[in-house]
Amino acid sequence: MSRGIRRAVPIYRKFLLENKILLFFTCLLVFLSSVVLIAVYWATHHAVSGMLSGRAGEAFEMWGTPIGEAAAAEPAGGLPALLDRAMAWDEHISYLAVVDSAGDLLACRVRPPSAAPKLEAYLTAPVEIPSRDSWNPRDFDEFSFPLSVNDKGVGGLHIGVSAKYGDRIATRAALIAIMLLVMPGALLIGVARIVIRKAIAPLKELTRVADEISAGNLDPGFDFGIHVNCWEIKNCQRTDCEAYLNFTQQCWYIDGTPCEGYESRFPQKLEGCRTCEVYQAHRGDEVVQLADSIRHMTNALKASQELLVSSGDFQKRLIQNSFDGIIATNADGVVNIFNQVAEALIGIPQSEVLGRRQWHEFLDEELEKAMDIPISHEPVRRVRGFAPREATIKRIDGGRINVRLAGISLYERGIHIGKVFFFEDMREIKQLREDLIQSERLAAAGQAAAGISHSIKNIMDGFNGGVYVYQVGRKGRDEEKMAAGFGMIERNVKIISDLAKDLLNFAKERQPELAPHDPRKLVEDVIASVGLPPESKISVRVEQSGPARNVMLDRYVFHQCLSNLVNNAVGAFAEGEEGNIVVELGFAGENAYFAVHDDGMGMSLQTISKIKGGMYSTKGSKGTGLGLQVVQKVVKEHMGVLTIESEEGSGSTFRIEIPAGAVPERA
Amino acid sequence: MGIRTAVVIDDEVDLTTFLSSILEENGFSVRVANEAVSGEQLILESPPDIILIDLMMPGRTGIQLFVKLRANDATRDIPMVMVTGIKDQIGVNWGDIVDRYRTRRPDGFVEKPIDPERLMKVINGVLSGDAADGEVLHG
Repeated sequence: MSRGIRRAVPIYRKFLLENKILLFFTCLLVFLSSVVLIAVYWATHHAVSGMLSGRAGEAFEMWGTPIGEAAAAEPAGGLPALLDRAMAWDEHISYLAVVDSAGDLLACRVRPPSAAPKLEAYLTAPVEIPSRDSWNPRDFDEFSFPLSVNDKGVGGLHIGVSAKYGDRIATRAALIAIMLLVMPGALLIGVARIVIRKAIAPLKELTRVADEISAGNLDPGFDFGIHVNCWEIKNCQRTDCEAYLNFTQQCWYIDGTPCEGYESRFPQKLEGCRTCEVYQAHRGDEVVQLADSIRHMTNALKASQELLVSSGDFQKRLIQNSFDGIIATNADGVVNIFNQVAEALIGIPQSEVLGRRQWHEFLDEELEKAMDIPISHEPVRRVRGFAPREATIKRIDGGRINVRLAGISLYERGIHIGKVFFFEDMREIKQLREDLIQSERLAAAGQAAAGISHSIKNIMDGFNGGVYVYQVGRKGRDEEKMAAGFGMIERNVKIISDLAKDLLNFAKERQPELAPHDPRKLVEDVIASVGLPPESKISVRVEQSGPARNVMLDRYVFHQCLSNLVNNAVGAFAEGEEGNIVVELGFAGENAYFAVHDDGMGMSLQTISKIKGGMYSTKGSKGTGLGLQVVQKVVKEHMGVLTIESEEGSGSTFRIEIPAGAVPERA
Repeated sequence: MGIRTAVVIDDEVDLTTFLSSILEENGFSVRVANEAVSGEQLILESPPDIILIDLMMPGRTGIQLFVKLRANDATRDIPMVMVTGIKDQIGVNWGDIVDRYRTRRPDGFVEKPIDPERLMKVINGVLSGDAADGEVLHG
């Protein structure tokens, strides 16, 4: 049975609602019919049995005495005729059987065709009256009465009535009852079906509406409930209200109606409107309210859809009008956004790219690794990708374009959903940058030329002065003056020689010829070459930190570089001033450093800034500013760094740090 | 007329030697200083007839010395000639200096490289008062 139920349930679930209801009523009808059938049958049968029993009793009352007397008489000849009369008296009697006191059958009558075969057999072969059970088959009900004459038992009268009679009657009664029940019931079911269909029709209509909504039609067109005029109910004359004199749309569907207390907006509006008297006037059954909710929902959906569309349009415009190229992909790397700038730079229309091409057809595939690197570790927002950097993108014609490129991997709830790349055309910027570098070079060159010209003028003064003084001395036979003049010429020869070296070093683009050199020896050579006069009160010494190691450097230019620094340090002191210059050298990790300290006049921040910026000298008319430019150039060629620290009145430190190079330590 | 005296102030030793030689050859007694402070002392000790100052000494001390001497009653009226390179002139706003310090411009300029004849022409012109009011002699 349980298997049957299990099979029936899914079938039942597929029934339409009306059929389910009808099935219920049908089952109810069947149940009631069954109950009625049984009840009527039993009641009728019982009644008939009672009636027959009564009839048997009546028959005994009528014929008992004469039959008793006839049975008692010898011979019992008149008994069969009497039995015939008794049989004729009541058609319900199926048989009459008289037995004597010993129980032997004296006479019987059987009414065909209801007679039982056994009874016939009994009649043809008189035997002892069998027990009731054996010769009274179920087809009969037998009633037994004792016969007595003058209070003396003479035998018994067995009156048999057909049990089938009762069955027949009961059956007929039951059938009649069922017909009386079923026919109207069926009629009722038919009517109920119609009523149910009518009642379900709104639900079907709502189903249709819901299907249309899910298919995308947010204006399916339906109307339930009574249309009410809110302005009449509320006695309102707000002509600024969209619901006023609106015969097509009810006020609870209109956003922002200025009703007192119900000026709510979608999507909460209906919740408030339901308590309003206007809505109460319209309010129908649950179906109407459901329809109201669905309409409200579609209005809210429409509003959301419009917002989405507008937002989507805005985003599309944003992407298309961006000054940057934008390429975005889905999780499989297929491009799904490719804006106008990308089209223009790469040279392929959007229609040929979207959904068809992979991002690495336009960008280097090596970027894949960079897209997985975290660039932000904020707890709320973790970003993987890379910050703007200079890169190239591939054009469709095989060329490449310089761009400034950034990339971000997109994740949603921890799942990778795609990538987005932003790139800016750098060609113009690169050209501008190169133009700027070129103009800076030209400006520097111009500045250098001005500085050199100035120095040359000073040197010319030195030469001219030297010659003049020498000639004056020779004219006046003043050997001191002659010596002074000659000295001036000598000094300026050295100055111009140094200037020429500086110019050469500054101007020449050369790769340093690196070789391992002992830095201490180099510094000692530099100090020796500075050539301080014997009367100078400036001391110059070397200080070395850490173990001795060779350093990979270009000895020729580095010598010049250190010479310039030491000479600058010498120039930090006034004529005849006492001072100290320390050239410190050592190692900081893999780098070697050279630091020239002096305790001379020092420089202001402004001066430091100027000498870093270009051809500036603190040496008044003497300096070209070229010396420091040479230092910076040499340091740069050695992939090093120059730092300057100074304090006015306290001195300065010029520190160079360069990679020491893979040179084995000296023993 | 007595010997005319001059003070030459220039950080460049060779230039002071050169200038002093020229002046001495032209009858001047010359004292030299290679920096502004000692130069000022020389001037204050014994005010000369003319002062030659290198405009672009380190730390713009040439201009500072000029302004200081002009501000001093004792030295205001001593003729001053600035020794300059063209580059030195750039960035020096004499109008501003004159206005700010309520002084007058240098009496003459001598440009490098030094030409003895031009130098003496300017110096003699300054000392003889050849310049009209406000005119600055250039050489």
